[in-house]
Amino acid sequence: MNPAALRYATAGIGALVLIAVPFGLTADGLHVLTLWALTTIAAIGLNLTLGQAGQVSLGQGAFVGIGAYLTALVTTRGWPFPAAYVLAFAACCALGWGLGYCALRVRRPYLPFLTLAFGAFVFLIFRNEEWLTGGMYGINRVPRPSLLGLSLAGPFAFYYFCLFNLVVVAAAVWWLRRSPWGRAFAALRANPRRAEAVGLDTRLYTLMAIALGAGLGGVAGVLYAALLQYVDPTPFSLTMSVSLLLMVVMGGSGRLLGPFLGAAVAVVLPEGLRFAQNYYLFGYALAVILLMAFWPTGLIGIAERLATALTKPRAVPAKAPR
Amino acid sequence: MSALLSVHNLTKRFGSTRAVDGVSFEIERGEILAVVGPTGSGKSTLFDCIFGQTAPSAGEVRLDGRAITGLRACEASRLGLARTFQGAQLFADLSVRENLIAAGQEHRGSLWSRLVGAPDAGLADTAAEMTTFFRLDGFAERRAGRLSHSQQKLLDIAMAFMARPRLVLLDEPARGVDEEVSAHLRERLRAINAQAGATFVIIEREPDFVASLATRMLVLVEGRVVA
Repeated sequence: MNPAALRYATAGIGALVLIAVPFGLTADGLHVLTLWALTTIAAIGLNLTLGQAGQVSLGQGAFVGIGAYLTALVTTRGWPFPAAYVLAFAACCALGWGLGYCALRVRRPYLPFLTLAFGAFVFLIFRNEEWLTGGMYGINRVPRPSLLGLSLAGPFAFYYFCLFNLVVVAAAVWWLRRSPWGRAFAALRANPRRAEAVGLDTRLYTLMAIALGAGLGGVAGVLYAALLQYVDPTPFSLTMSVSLLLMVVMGGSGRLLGPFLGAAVAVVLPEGLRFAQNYYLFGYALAVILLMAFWPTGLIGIAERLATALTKPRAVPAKAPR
Repeated sequence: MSALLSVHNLTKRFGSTRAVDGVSFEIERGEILAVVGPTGSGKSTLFDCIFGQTAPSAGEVRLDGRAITGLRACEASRLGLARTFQGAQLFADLSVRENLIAAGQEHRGSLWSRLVGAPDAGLADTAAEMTTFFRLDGFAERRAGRLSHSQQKLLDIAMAFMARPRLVLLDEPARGVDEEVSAHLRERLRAINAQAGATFVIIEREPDFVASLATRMLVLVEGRVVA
């Protein structure tokens, strides 16, 4: 079996498992799986920013929060759910673009600091602007969506709704990566000086990657608000941003399936390892350090190397000019 | 008709050092101009200034009569300028084919069409022609970072021609390659010049590579044109 066929087979089996697995789960398990699906969307967004444009963002949690709060604010006032999508995606894209624009005016390493400050600023707004956000009490009774008159309020229906969102986002990103835009992102990441020399507007592509990444954070926030049916500031602190960053790094920065694995390790695995208590965090931190030191391509990179070793026929080296 | 490239009194200072010091020259269409000089004479900085990858301290650059001083490299590229680098600058994780397509795709269609259009941006045939032309057949799917030094230099040069530029700045194209590849490269450049009327400025430390190729030669020493 060639590597491409193996990839498609793995993706197909993974999809079947995700469709079938809820039937064997408790309500808590289903909640965790739904949380994984929407967290993966946020991680896919960050993977665009980090993995494609090579920009470190410490503000992805803030974008998830903005998406969640916008959803809570508009849906509790009777706006339809699709409006929350459009609003969250557009607002986060615009904010991401603005932050990126400011950061790129100076020098590359400034984006982490800028997004860090932005995250703190957004968190303070969530916590302190009670007239708008409800402060520490947050906003209650966020409705779940309905589709063509069918309610998606139940845990099963909502899980499949989130899974559908994840499939759509993953397919869109897959499309993007195989398009000339994807090649431009890869070129930008590999060698910005050469990329600029071949006519690639590195500033524009970097801003697009940051904006799209932030926009997907907003989409994840929409689903987050609908999952919990309640939003408060606590989850959207720096911890969420760092956690999302680690998911991307651990899964495999720049790899399409990296965020899926990274989010699974960060969201699903702790539920299975509850008996380990805080030792899980110790193990998680150690795993990240080891991955960075020895396998910087992350879990998906390790999986790919294994798959290549298993499927690659012995190559006969072509004769090369010296 | 104005010269294709006109460089007037170009100067680049780094602190008190003048890396490029009042350089002026013109190049006509179809010409091959060689710029030779020892290491540190400001040759690559001159290219950086012409191409917009370093802002000059003074002076002016015109491409086909249009001032391009201060334009970004991507803008200069879209106006028909291309360049190579002293050490091959490639997209190491991409295949040879992908490197070639990446080098030409930004010159095709709009930003939107590059999102929704063909993944190869309609450049697959051109990329295949280039791999054959520069003797990279059989390596199209190999990652650029895994090529030999000579192959990387050839790919670096092939990439510069993907967008059919009007003027190519070649920075030490024969550096570190053996005599066979060097001769092949010289012959290829001569062929492109004869067939497509392409115009080159070639930087070299030693005049050997460019002696039989260039129609004119400038000698640069400590940032100044001395001959």
